[in-house]
Amino acid sequence: MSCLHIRDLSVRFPTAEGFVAAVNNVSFDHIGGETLALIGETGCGKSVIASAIMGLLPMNARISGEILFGGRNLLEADRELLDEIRGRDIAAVFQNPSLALNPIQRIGKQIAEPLIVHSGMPKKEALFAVRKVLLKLGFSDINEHLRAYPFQFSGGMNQRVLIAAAMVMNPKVLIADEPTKGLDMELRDEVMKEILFIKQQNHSSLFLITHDFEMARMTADRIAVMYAGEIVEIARSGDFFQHPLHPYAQALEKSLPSNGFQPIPGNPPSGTEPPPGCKFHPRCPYAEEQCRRENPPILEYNSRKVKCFLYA
Amino acid sequence: MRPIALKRISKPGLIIFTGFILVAVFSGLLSPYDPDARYEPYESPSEKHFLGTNDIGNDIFSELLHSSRVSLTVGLLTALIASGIGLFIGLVSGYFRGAIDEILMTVTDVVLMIPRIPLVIILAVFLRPSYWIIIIVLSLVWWTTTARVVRAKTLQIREMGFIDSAVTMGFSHRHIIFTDILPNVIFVLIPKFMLTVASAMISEASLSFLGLGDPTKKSWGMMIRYAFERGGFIQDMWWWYMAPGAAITLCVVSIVLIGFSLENTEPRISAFSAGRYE
Repeated sequence: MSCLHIRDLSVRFPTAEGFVAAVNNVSFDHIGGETLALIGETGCGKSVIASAIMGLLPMNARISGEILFGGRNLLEADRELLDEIRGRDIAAVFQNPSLALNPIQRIGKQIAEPLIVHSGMPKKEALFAVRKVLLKLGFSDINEHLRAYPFQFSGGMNQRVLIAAAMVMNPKVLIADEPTKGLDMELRDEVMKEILFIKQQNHSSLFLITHDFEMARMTADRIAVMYAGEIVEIARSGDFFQHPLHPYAQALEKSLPSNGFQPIPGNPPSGTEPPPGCKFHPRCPYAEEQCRRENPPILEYNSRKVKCFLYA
Repeated sequence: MRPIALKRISKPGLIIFTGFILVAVFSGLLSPYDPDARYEPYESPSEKHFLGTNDIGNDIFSELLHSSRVSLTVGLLTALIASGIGLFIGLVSGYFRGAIDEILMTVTDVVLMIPRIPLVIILAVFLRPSYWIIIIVLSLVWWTTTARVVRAKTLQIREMGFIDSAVTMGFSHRHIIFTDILPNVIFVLIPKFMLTVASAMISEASLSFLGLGDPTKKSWGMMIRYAFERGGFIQDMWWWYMAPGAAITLCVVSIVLIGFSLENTEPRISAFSAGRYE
């Protein structure tokens, strides 16, 4: 079982108005084989965690903490080690599929590239392996597709191509950062089905980042909720959707169209000047004096983890 | 190159330039006489000598055809070396950024400030006049603008999603530069290459005209120089100096036409990525 352990990860970005703490002391374990969904609103730092794991953070980011994979800290790894791990052990699928493909290279070569580079496979053999993967994914007209350029495909097709490219190496961990953003409902379900299918085939684990509650409910084994750069609750998916513990998670659930469409009062906190104490207290119906002064620790409650004084 | 680039390429430019290349390659077959064979000097154009003969009795038409070799070789080789240097420096500078970029761009700025033709003249005076030296010296001062253009393009491309995507696939710097960035930079490199060929040819002609060329080889610049020095101008033998002059002009115009026509062939990466998936 290979796991990804995140320990006290903090990422800050310098801006003209001071530092923005995009990710604040985040710790969680991603257990081999599971699907972990990280949910939260736009701008809460979900994607920054994905970028940190993949080593894609811009040069000006201040990073602290540890990202342990196979006993090695990825944040301190040099480029050679990262190149060995990325693509082979950990693969990622990002949003904006059409931007993630090289516009002037044929699709087939782009899917085959990881095999050629990492396994030193001859091009012909790699293309043959790609054919098999695409066949498994239910692609039709494979010959034609392999020779096409990304601009000839729709966004959904390109996303499926990227998933195929991420999966040809049978990575142990797949990170999917809003893989269905910008796709219509039908394509969304198809793409998710493909991701889960491949995950099962390869016995890999999936780290899914999304703001789509429904998708998280359908796919995830465990749910982590993020708010303003902090993880406020981690629970098994069944438990969580039955009864979310953290007030933010509860409010989030109530804001869903199917649950009454009640908006969360107030605005997301500013990145440069977050509120003192618990970051959710200005919008929290249960806020007390203690919440304004102290940032609650992560508490164990019925073998679930929640960052709120209500459960102390 | 992609079909679209071939479609947009300037047809007249391509035809004329191909003609010059063919003439240079087959000049031995095409020219009626050996360019070094001597006949009656200072002859006017006639059926026997299409463009007359020069001061030492060489057939000017044969000389003209043979000179294309040196002129084109200097142009193409210089552009090849200069573009190679510019491409390398631009790619490394734009891709790695930071201190490497600062150092390389400072060097580029310094070289850019050197007045090129005077430098080449001084070097040609001090060094033995030879075509190889002209090629090397021209290459060493002509890469700067290519480096800047390639760097700018590299900076733009390396911020695009597919580079991040390649990083997450675990591809090395070298692999990303060669398979992801280089093919996208080609579109700015080729027009730049063509313009370098043109300016190198003009420089070679200027140097030869000033008497700093290789006296053992015939080039168009050399022909004009001899026409001026040895009485072609005074005796109004316009065919002697007009022919190589027209050849240089026509050749350079064809190259520039090709270069300009290729400038607009770059695929608009942002155009197709927007709106496709929404």
